[in-house]
Amino acid sequence: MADTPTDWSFYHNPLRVAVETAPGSRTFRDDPRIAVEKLVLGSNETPSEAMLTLYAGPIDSEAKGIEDALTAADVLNAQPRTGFDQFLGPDQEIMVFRDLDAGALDDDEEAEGAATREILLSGHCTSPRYDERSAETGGKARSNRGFQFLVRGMLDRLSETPHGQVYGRRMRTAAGQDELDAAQERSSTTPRGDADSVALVTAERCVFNADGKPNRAAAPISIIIGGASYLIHVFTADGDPDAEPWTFAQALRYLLMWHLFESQTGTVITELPGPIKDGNAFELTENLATLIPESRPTAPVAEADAFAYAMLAEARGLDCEGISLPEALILLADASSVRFCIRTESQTTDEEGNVRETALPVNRLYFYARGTGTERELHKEATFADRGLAAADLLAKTNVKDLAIQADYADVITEPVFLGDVKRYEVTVELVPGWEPDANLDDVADVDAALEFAEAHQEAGLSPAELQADPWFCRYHKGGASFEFYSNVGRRWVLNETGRYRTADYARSGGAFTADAYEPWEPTAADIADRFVNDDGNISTLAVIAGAWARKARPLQPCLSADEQRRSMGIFAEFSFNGGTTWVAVPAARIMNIDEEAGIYLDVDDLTLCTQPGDDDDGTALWEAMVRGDLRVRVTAVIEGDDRLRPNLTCMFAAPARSQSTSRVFDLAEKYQQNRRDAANSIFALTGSRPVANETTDARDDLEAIQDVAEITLELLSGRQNALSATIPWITTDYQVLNTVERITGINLVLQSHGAGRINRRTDIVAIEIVGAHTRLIFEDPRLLEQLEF
Amino acid sequence: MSVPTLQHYDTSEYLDVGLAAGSQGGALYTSQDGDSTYQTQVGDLVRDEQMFRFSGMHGEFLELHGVVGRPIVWEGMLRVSDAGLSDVRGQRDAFRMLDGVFTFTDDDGAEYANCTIRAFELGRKRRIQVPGNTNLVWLVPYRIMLQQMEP
Repeated sequence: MADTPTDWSFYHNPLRVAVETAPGSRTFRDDPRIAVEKLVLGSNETPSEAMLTLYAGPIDSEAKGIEDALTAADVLNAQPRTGFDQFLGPDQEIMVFRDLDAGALDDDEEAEGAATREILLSGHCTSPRYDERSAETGGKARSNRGFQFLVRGMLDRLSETPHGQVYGRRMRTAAGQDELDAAQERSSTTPRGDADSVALVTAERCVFNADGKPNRAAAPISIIIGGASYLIHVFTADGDPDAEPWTFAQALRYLLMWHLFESQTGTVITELPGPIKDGNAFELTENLATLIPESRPTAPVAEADAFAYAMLAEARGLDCEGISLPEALILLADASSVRFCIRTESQTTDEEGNVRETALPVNRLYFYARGTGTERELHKEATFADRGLAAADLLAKTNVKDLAIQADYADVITEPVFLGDVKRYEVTVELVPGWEPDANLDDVADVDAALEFAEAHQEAGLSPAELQADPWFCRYHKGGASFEFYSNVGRRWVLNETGRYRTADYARSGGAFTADAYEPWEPTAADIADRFVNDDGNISTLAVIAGAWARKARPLQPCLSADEQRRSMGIFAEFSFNGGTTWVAVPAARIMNIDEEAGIYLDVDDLTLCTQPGDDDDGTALWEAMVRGDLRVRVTAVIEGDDRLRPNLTCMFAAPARSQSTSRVFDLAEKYQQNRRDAANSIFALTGSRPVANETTDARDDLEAIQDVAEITLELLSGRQNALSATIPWITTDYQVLNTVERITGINLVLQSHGAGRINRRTDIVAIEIVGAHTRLIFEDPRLLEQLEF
Repeated sequence: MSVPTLQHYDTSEYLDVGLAAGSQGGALYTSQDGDSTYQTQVGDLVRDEQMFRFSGMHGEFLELHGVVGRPIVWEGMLRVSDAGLSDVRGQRDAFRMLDGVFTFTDDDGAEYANCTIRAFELGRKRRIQVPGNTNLVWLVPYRIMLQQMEP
């Protein structure tokens, strides 16, 4: 049905209002007292609402009924009304509709059961308002009194419902997990269990991919409703080594399944109880539910793939804890570049799949990728030359009465700076003694004498006093009286990345730790190489050159390499007792990490008794190996680089709307990280000398992801913002919220919008406002604050 | 030909003017000689409509949303005695105080229901005495503004 007038004069049905006779009765009665002052049909960016006015005086009419004047108490206290049932409590549903003329119906609509009215909005009024004003003008007293009702759409009602509150996580119960474990690996993606296999765990927060790390159980559950099976993914604990990342599609299905419907049992999923029902969300995500982010279509993205492109992105750190479902959906929509709206319809689908007209409002949730909704046109083509045309022909050429466009260059950013987290690398590096040469340990001329001096305290039967009298024990044993002054000797081993261990002070005259060994450490020593996006937009690898990093402390962090439970190997220290030929771990040596710089501390009581592992107890002790100049120490651990993960936007195709360079910093450290164990010389890397298959959940490289989000955001930032609205001078429902418009014909105005995926999209209608008998279309106006909720 | 009347059904209040008083005791008429005059004007139905134009396009479109009602004006000159003037004043107040709708019947018999009185004005009165006639007469212009709320 088209709303466009066809003649110079035409009749149009105004908006009307019907009210539920009692809360939840689903029986609506037209109320002739209520008029619609303003109706707003919105999307995730604008709430739907209607401003209604109520005539409070007496009515005496054959058509409208007979009723005395209403008092403030009648209305505000929702007193019963004779002939009009109860009026008007906060839980009574109110619908705004307009009658459909029989002549305006299409042939198929005239069939039995066809709609006779078009329902535009239903909702509730929780804030009725009574106004009474008196004034005297020109000697005449005037009193006005009346009621105003702000009716908010059902999204608002959903935000108030108990089941619409999001907190805690749905995780597998112990029994559900045991059932899965008996059947398959936890990393298996085979669906297992149903709604009874999961429970709400309030101790865990509802944050999808918290801190950018996966926390989705690999295997979804199946929920069978109305004979159809729906795959729904559930949470697992943070840090679960078998966790997989949530996509937006999976997060959306999770949120809708547990928080949209009042109950998870029923007949047909689209008709489960609740103020809002599913429109297309489950249908659109059905084929995306089992796909992983790697399945995401690549840019440039065709319109048909736009929704999949948006919804298969990782939902990084999507924090929905403690908010309502509508708020969570708004966050999700903003972060994934989709939009949603609530459409009030009057048809429903029964269990057999037949569409039935109910004449009652049914609110459904619809999602669209931005700029991909049904395309509509606006016209301003009629010119002087068209005079004399029939009205219908003229109106087909022009339907825009008022047009307002405000171009805004203020938020154009041509060179945004996106910062991921600090890059981290797993390296295997040799350490140098972190103590100044000691006469009893370093550069020893008479090795045998030095060893005899060191081992004298090992004589059996010495009393504590005799031990303290031993000069070696007194200085170098952890229990020695002077140990505090010699506590670093033989024990502190450092990387010297700061250059503070200067050659003049620390270099030994011979052996492995001469002046060369005390040159400040360089990343080239660990063969560190960076992955980055080159100017052509491709991924390249480039070694970090000597001198590229500042001389700053880089405390060691636990390895990214992990055991079979994906627990970190920690800071892994090895020793060589033969000058670096072979390396072994010394279990007896307790290794402590030095917080202030890269290095370790050997926390053992007696270095002369701490020996290399062997078949007997007579192995070489650490002290002896040091005296002989044979001991070498190396660690495998993670160190931080000097750079943060950053995209390369010099390869971008975007043509900024301003020639002047403008910039702003976007800190995305929590969501985008590059923690690699294959970027250097780690012995545990798959190409290393002791390859380890597993890695911790911290191991990740988000280079492609941050490049992707940076490109999408630059598309938004580099263009000017256009606040645009167009008014059609009659009430029309030919245009619906999240329909799209690409141009206004006749004035050569193209309304292309920023489209994620390197393709411009049409411009979304994000709200429709009906005031009086005018229909105002409000187009998307992406503002930075709304858009940059990554 | 009859005279215009205005009746409020709930209270049986009745108002007319003309050559004969109504059986319900309408008070606007008081002149025995039938010298009072009246004229009525039933206005055009007022529609709830909007017109719109497009810039650069010739012509104007009219959109109709419904009917608001119509104005009715009933006016003339009263020729009344002292007692009659007093009755008229009392009747005016009584009708003005009534809360509800009236049915207006024009002198051609056409009825207009759902009317409200928006104004009942009595103008500046003049006193006349015909030489040789001891009866004093008041001449008072009057105007009753009605609004039919829905046809």
